[in-house]
Amino acid sequence: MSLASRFDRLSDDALLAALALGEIDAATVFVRRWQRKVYGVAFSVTGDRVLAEDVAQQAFERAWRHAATYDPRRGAVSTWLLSITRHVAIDAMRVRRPHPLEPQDVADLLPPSSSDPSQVAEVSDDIRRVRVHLEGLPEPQRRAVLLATIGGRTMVEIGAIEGVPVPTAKTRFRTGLRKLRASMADDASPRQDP
Amino acid sequence: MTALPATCAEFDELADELAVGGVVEPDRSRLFAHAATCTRCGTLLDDLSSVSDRVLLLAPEIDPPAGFESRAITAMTRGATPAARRGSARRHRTPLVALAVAALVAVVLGAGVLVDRATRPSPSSRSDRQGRLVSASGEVLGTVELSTRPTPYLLVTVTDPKPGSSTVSCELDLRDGRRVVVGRWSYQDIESGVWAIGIDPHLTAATSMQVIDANGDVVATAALS
Repeated sequence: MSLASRFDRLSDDALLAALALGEIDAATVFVRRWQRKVYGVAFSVTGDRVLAEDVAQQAFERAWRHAATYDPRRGAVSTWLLSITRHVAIDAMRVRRPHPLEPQDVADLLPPSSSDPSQVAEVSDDIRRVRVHLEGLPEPQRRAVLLATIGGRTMVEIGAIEGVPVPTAKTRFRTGLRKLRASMADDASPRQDP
Repeated sequence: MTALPATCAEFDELADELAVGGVVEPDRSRLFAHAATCTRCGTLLDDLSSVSDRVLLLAPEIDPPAGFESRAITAMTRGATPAARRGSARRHRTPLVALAVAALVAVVLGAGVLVDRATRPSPSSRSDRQGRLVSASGEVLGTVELSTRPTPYLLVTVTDPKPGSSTVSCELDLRDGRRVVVGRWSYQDIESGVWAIGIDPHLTAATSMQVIDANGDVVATAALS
């Protein structure tokens, strides 16, 4: 069995622990495991393939440097890594602002949960639960949350996209995020890595 | 907003945008400073950040450009750590060591036993005390390492494990003269050449390790410094 294969069998938490020990083989498996998701977030926020690659690479570098600070009580490895990616992307966007995720693409992030059972079965329980929570929000609040989180949009931009005053955009986002907070707090299912 | 410390009311107003990285300096630092000193607001920020992070799971998966994987790995491991750059005689053991420790750490962390985040290490700092494992006849059998990070553990590596049916006891000697049994292993347990176990933090100050066979005889020792 190759070294990479050995690491490939590790859980996300254990793989990150190996990363914290400075194992290059673990880094290889880590990148292979997460590159599509990391690049997806980077591209969603930046809307620019070149910048997204820079962001994704920086996100992996930060994960390597800060692997030892990961605290499993605060969330899954996936959310930890994607959060790093979003923050790197937002920092990059402050320097250079191309065209982030198109507003009409936001709807595609939340397909009807029962439209294709085979497709639904492919996603993890955690993703499925997040979708259920989001589907519980009124459409304007859901769009505001998705535009601000995955789309990396500011409240001013959301207001312009949605054709509403900035205070309205802020209220939609704030109300939506806090409803999600309440509903996810009621979600007593154990955390699982996707 | 002024340069005055943020209030709970200000924080509550901006917490959601702060959680998604939508607040810029100098307000960002003011708000984080407030969250660090206010339990209620700190919890609110943690919760909102956790929620927004979970929403990221819905982001589309996209294939990165060709060559990204190798470029990312190169960038990550540029200036690799001592743990990953040891000499060739040790190199073949390192992945097994990492696997053993990673699995151990994952188990311990999963059980909720965590060290303070601020004390957790960079990848370059791993072993706190170490020594060579020497047989009763003076043959160097391998190495022993004690570490407090990322969680306290004992790591034993044996260069050439010898098949056998007996189980040996692994014991640590403390400065005050006490000897503490931390675990036992058989040949099957250490066949890969690596054995690791989580230990109480105070045991990482042990001065030596003894390997005791079923007859009570010391078959190997390691002076730790």
